[in-house]
Amino acid sequence: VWFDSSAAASLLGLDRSLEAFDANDPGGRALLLGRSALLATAWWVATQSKSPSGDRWFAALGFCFLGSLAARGLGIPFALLAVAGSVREPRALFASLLLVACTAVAVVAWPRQPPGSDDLTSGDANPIAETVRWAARDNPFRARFWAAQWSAREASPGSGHLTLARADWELGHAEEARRGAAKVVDEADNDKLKGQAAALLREWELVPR
Amino acid sequence: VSRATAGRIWLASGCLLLVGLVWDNMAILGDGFWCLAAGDFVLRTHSLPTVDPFAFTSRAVPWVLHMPAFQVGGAWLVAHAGLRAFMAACTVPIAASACVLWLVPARRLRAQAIVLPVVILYVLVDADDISARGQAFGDLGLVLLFVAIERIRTGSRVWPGWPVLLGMAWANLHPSFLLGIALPLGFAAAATLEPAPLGSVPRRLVVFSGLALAGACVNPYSVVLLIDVVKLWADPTTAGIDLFRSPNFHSPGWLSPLVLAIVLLVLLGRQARARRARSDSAMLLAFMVAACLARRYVTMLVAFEALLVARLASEEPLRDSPRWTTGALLGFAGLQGSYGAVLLSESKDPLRDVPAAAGETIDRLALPDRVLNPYHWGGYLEWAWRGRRKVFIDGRNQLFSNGVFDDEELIASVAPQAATLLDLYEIQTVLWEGGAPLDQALAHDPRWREVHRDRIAVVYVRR
Repeated sequence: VWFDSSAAASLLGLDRSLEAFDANDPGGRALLLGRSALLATAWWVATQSKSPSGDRWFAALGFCFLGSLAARGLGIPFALLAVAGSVREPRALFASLLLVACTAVAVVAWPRQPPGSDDLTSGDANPIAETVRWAARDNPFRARFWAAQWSAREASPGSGHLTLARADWELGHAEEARRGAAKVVDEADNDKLKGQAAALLREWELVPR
Repeated sequence: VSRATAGRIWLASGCLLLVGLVWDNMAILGDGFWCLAAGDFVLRTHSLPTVDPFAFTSRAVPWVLHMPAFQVGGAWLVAHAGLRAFMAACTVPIAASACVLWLVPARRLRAQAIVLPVVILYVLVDADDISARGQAFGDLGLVLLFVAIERIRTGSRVWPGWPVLLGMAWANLHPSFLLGIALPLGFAAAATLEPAPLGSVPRRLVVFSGLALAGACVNPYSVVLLIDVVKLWADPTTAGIDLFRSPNFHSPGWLSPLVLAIVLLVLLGRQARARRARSDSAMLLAFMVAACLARRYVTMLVAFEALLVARLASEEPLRDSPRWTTGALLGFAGLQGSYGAVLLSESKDPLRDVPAAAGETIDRLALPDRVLNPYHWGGYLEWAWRGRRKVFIDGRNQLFSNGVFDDEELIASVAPQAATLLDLYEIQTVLWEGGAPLDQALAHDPRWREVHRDRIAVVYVRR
């Protein structure tokens, strides 16, 4: 998780100003909730006003809100209009300013996934950690892929080969699984691993001669 | 013809128009087909499935049918009357929800005339997603819920068995039954914003929610279904589905419900001291936020708007109708009725949007398993193959939150790792949309050979 302050600028409409709002953008939900709370505050201010100007201001603000959905760039005029109209009610002005500040902070601090974190072609990934991660996520295909990378990096058949054999078995590749486990039995340096591989082979009904 | 008779004819023609609009947009998409496949499974095995029998990449978790009555009932109907009957059966609840929304809250003809365009907007705003699936019954449940809440808020009596029956039927037909529990609580909370207390209204709404919850537990899985549906709602893949993403706000069609909401907020603001104006405004704002978050909720916003418009229009003082009203009613009735009849007469091909020929080709040529398919076609293939072959992915997104959901998007967009993913998932056969980026990529890839192409689909097999 990392923080990108330039993304906040784009969300606030400083670039991509003609693009439509998307709640799935990082910080998009915070921005929507902040604007909606401003609109609710403005509705309350308008209802306290006895003059029709309150209605007109709220209507203008409402359509500015809609405009900011169609074009992100209108988000800032919307916030300015909301704050300017709240001047007549000190409590509402304080609430509006607080909302604007909280929204800006929430948008900037919204967690973002680093791009390319799931790049299968990256040489930097840790195959052991990835194998464990994907097995825990219940994806045997990806777990097998990383187990293959893990086993390829082993100098002599070890845990990587055994994990790959298990993944092969799970995906229905019985012959590859047996071959992999047999290789561990024949060539591994570690007796404990050899025992585990032999147990698997027995379980798969092929005891080595 | 008296004015009253002309009014009744106009109302009948309006209902015909609403039914016609729903039928005109009705289709069976992936969601409908995987529901039918699951129902077929239950009818064939006489038992509920415990693990997913349809996909080769899904998580090995207990599989809970989220709409058991709809799935089994739909499969039974298709087996006995065919796919068109299934489409017709799903048209009924959507059209009924529109008709209830139109006729129940708006009591007078003038109010009904004002509400009709809003109800047409309710049908058409998300017309692309009108299809034969449990959501059809979810829509009806939502409208009936709104009507019941409105009765409670106006102090009218609601039979205590009603929330129980609504919760029970809704939970067995569609996962949106959670709204039947959550929305009464939302309205009860909003009632606390009123300057004058609303008496027993908040308490009655909370009781309604509790009874709906009790009713929802009456299903084959009891409380497990509720927990699983909450998990589905919270699953990260749900937010990735097109239906649960923000609407395209560059389209006037999606903005129009929000324009209406702003107008209603202004009108409610003018009578802020009137009974329920504050709670109505708070709920309207909440529905607006929901509609901005996910286009699935836009229909909920329009349904609530129709109720508010109906109430505001019904509160207008009675006036004498001019003489031409009868003629105008009959004229509109003629136009509405004719258009509705034309729409209803449309012959529907239930397999129009699915790769029927491509699926058959894979079977006929006995192409190898590990078939890659797009998200929205998995349901059809499950239904067509009936367990003979397994699919890559389908609309049950929570079963594919193990990375498969995201990987399907990477493959569809021909991301740099797409080729590795095809190898990783051991894909031997690809059934995809003709003309899509993946089709173009595979057409130029010597490792793949095209074996079938039709109006919508293409099939490749690994060389």
